[in-house]
Amino acid sequence: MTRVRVVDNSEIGKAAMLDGKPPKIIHIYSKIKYGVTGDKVLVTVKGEMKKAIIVGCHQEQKAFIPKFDSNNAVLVDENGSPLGTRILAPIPTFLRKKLKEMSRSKGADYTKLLSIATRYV
Amino acid sequence: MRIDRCYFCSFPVYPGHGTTFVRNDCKIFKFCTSKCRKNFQHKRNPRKARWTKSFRKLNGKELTSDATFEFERRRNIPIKYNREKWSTVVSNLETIASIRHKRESKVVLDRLKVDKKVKLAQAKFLVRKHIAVIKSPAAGLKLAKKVTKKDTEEEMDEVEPKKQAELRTNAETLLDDEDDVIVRQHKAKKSSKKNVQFEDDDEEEEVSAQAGEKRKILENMDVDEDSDNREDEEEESDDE
Repeated sequence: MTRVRVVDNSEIGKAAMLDGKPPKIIHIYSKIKYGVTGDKVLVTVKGEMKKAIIVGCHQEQKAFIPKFDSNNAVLVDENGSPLGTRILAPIPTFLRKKLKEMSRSKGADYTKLLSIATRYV
Repeated sequence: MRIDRCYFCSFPVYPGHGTTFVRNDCKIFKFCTSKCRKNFQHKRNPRKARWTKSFRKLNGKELTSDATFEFERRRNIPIKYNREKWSTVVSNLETIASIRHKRESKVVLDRLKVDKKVKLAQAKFLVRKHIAVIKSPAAGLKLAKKVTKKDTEEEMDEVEPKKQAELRTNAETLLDDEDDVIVRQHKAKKSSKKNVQFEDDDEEEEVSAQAGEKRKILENMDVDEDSDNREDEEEESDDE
């Protein structure tokens, strides 16, 4: 139920952040209760349900994953392709490995969002 | 692989060590230990923490601008691999590091040299202020006493044995203090020839003057005692 900060330049994301109603996580697509960097997540934005990928957590993560000042997420569609064209915040390089693994099992390519990233951590 | 610098203390962060933190303005902070990280979280300024490199450089405690630092600068443009280049760089790394180390230590030593001069000046001032501790006002008493002893030996025989003992003990107690002072002075002179420097002419005059004074005092003391005793004896004899 955490509210998440949209980090890409998708229209819906921008509008939501401007309104002051950031997207809310309603479901996490993992066996563990809590979401972690790199997890796919179901999110409500502007009355719609969208998929997103958590790109950075304020909580301390496992080793080699940097800590962020806010919980960042990138809006994504069913096939894993991002809704925006550019990601503004730095993205952990750890995602390269994680998203690849996710993509292998599902048949969707989640690594596309790495190509629109501007900066890596 | 890259060896980063800790944001707070500027120590090298090797792979597998430390933590990174990304702020919402997209600025990345790397820390070598939780110590640095917690200081940062407490919003402490690294330029005010005395143990950090940034403080030391800011306050001139260490080498700041030097050609050797240019080699370590971060370059965001990747260089194409060239075997020769790579090997030369690796071989030069050691020499560069040694040169930088020498220059850094020179800076530190120069700072220490200044401190030496300061301490010398402070020591001189201290000596002049508390000259009485080193060189007592009754310096040269031993010499004086020796001289007076020869004079008073003849006089002492005329004095009562009790009085003789008293005089001797008094003199001894006085002399003991003086001896200690002289010994201290001598030791000090031997051990630290550099620190303490007296103006010799003045010292000699002072010593001789003081010796003369003491001699006079002693002479007067003995004479008075003798006269008192003699009076008593005469009175007693008269009474009888």
